[in-house]
Order: sequence, then C-alpha cells, then structure tokens
Amino acid sequence: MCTVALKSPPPAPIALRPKRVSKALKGKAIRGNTTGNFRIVEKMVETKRDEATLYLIKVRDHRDELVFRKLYRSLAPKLLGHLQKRGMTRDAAEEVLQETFVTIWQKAHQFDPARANAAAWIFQIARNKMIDRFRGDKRPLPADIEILTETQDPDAEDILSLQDDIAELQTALSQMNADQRDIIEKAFLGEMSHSEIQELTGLPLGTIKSRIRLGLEKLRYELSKT
Amino acid sequence: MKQIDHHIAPEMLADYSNGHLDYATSLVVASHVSLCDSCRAEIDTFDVLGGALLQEEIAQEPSPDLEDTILKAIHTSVAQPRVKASGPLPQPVMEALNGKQPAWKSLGPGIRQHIIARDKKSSVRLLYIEGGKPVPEHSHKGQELTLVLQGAFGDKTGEFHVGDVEVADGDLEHQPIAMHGEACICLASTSDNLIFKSMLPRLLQPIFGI
Ligand SMILES: [Zn+2]
Repeated sequence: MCTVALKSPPPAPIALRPKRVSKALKGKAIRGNTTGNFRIVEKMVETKRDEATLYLIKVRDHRDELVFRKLYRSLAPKLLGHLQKRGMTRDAAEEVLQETFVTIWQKAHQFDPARANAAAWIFQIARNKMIDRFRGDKRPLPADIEILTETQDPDAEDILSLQDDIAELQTALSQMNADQRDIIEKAFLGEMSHSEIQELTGLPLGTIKSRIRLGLEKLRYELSKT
Repeated sequence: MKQIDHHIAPEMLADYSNGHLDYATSLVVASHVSLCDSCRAEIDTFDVLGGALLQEEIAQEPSPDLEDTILKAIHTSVAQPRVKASGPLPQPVMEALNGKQPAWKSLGPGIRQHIIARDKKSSVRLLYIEGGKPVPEHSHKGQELTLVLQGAFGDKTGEFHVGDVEVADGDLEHQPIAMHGEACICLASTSDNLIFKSMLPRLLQPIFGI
C-alpha cells in the first residue's frame, strides 16, 4: 500500500494563505446559536462556498424541511454513486441512503462547522451504516460531543478558516485526473494515515487536522466552564 | 483535557475508520478517541478527505420517490438516544455494557475483571487493579491494547495515565503494575486482529477489480 506512486506528478501543494491571527481563548466558542450563526451563514453565502454546509447549518438551526430537501438533492446522488461503487446493490445503497438522511435530520444538532463540513459529516454517517451492514455488528463509535447552543458569538473566523481549507482540498482533488484520484481513494481505503496521504499527494491535510484540533480544544474549554 | 502521551498509531485509526478492526480492538480505539482530541482530529481529518472524495463521485439518481419516503420517515422514526458515559467509563464502554455497571469478578487479591466480549480470536474486558498490584496478562499471542480509564499503571516502557493506551504485540515481555493511589481501571483487548481483514477484499473489490 505504501509503495503506490502517482502516475503523473500530483498538483503542487497549494500555498496556504497566511494564517489569520487566532483570537485568544476569549470564550464563547458557541456554534449553535441562531443569531450568531446568521453572520457565518451570510459570510458563506457571500463567498459562495459550500452549499451543502450552508443547508446543513440551516437544517440544524431552523429544522427547515425545504432546506433539508435541498441538502438531500445536493448530496444524495453522489452518496448513492459512492455506496454502489463500494459494492452495495442499488436496493441496499438506497436503504443506507434513507437511514443516513434520517440520521442527519435527527443528529443535525451535533454538526459543528468548526470541525467538519457537510460532506465529511454526512460521509462518515453513511460509511458507518455501510460498515455495520457489511459486518453485521454494531461497531463501537466514539463518544458524542455535545455542542453548546446558548451563548452568542460563534468563532466565525475558525469556521471560515476550516471551510476555506476544505475548499482548497476540494479544488486540488477536482484538478486531478480520475487515475490520480483513484490512487488516493485506494490509499484512503487502505491503511494509510492522513500524513502518509499528504506526503503521497501534497494535499493539505495537516492544516485541516490542526484546525479541527483547535476547534475541539476550544469547545472543551467552553464545556469545562459550564 | 489531560495530557495524553500514548496514542493509537494513525494507521490503526485508519483501519478503525474503515471498519477493518474486530469488535474488541474497535472498542478500545473508540474509547481512546473519546478521550483524546489528537486522535479524534486524525479520524475527523480522514472523514474530511472522504467527504472531498465523495464530492468527486459520479452521481447516480436515487429512485424518484425516495426523497418523499425520507421526508415521511423523519417524522415517524424516533432517534435512539445513546447510553451516557458513567464516571470513568466513556460512552462506548457504557454502550457495550448496555448501560449497566460492570459486574466485577475477583481474579485474586486486589484484582477484578469484567469480560465485555470474548470469542475464539479476541476478547475485551475491564480490569480493576488496586495500587501496587500487577495488571493481569490477558494473552500471549496477538495484539493487546490496554487503555487507562482511572488511576495509572507503569512498566519498563513507561507510565500510563488516564487516556493513555499501551499497544503491545504478544512477544513484548512486560509486567505492568498499577501505581499507588487510586485503583487503576483499564479497558483491555486482545486480538489476532485479522478477523475483519477477510472482509477487506469484499469491500474493495469494485475498486481494485480483484
Ligand atoms: Zn490519542
């Protein structure tokens, strides 16, 4: 697995924008508040980033079924393609799709855009359901992290930084040809760590890990005060 | 969060994410990840890459009535709340115990265990060891993971505190001793670790074309 080589050179690692100076732990790493999130949602609309993430935040905060339908339409076809490529029959894949979207609706309150985008969050829900089917057992999952929903002023900069980095990752992947992406997918489904994949492909995964970790630490800090 | 020094190797985390580890090992990995932000960020990053690859997939249109079926289902299906963590026992362990406290069985003075699951190739158990007592060995073959949930133990490779996990192959000669003070509670798995490797070809078949 570790000896795979790209057939043609991967795109050069993307230069990261200078890091924004991170605000000190001034508190209120709160991400579930409607008023606070309004700003983030607006900013994301402004820059026309990731639609699906925008929809998921709206589903989480407003329980809006029309937006939920939009979220479904934006990701369900790709998810179905993915599940079938992984070896599921169409019927089984549609069942997993249904279970996944019901879970998205039920667990939307746990979605934290400082630690994931919608595609990543939904991918892991679907993957876990697929694995449970293949294995026929209930694979233990890590503890849920409850996000706070009372205070205002979410850390919009952290959220936007992570979403920017993920957008760069997406751009890098979309610029690869199908063979290159195939190799990354094989590495991903094998036993490679993200740092090995980063080394192999130049994809900026280390930065994303640092940001997710920062998001977790800030949330823990806030939770410890409540 | 307390400082954690002994982690799960990133490759094993990747195996866990892909469903390649058996139940016993998965339970220890999930429990460590519940306590460790660093390893959680590692698997979350893995999911971000999965999500990005998902966006590049070739779409397949779902059956036209599936959307409405799902919209009905969100009103009729009730979410099963997860069993909560309890004291030193993290959420995945309490789920494995179906929400009940462990029923400790004595293994000798100052040492107790509760076997959570066991089959021919693997086992996972909780161990309760009073300070100064040795951590019982659970296997001589395969891979052992020992995660500290309360107290601490030490052996010649170092000290292990809450959240630390020791990963040992069967041939590692070591005799961990619970450190003095609060009793040490560990979650320990032993496994030949290959059970679900047999599933791998099936999962990857369409991609590798084998
Ligand atoms: Zn760790």
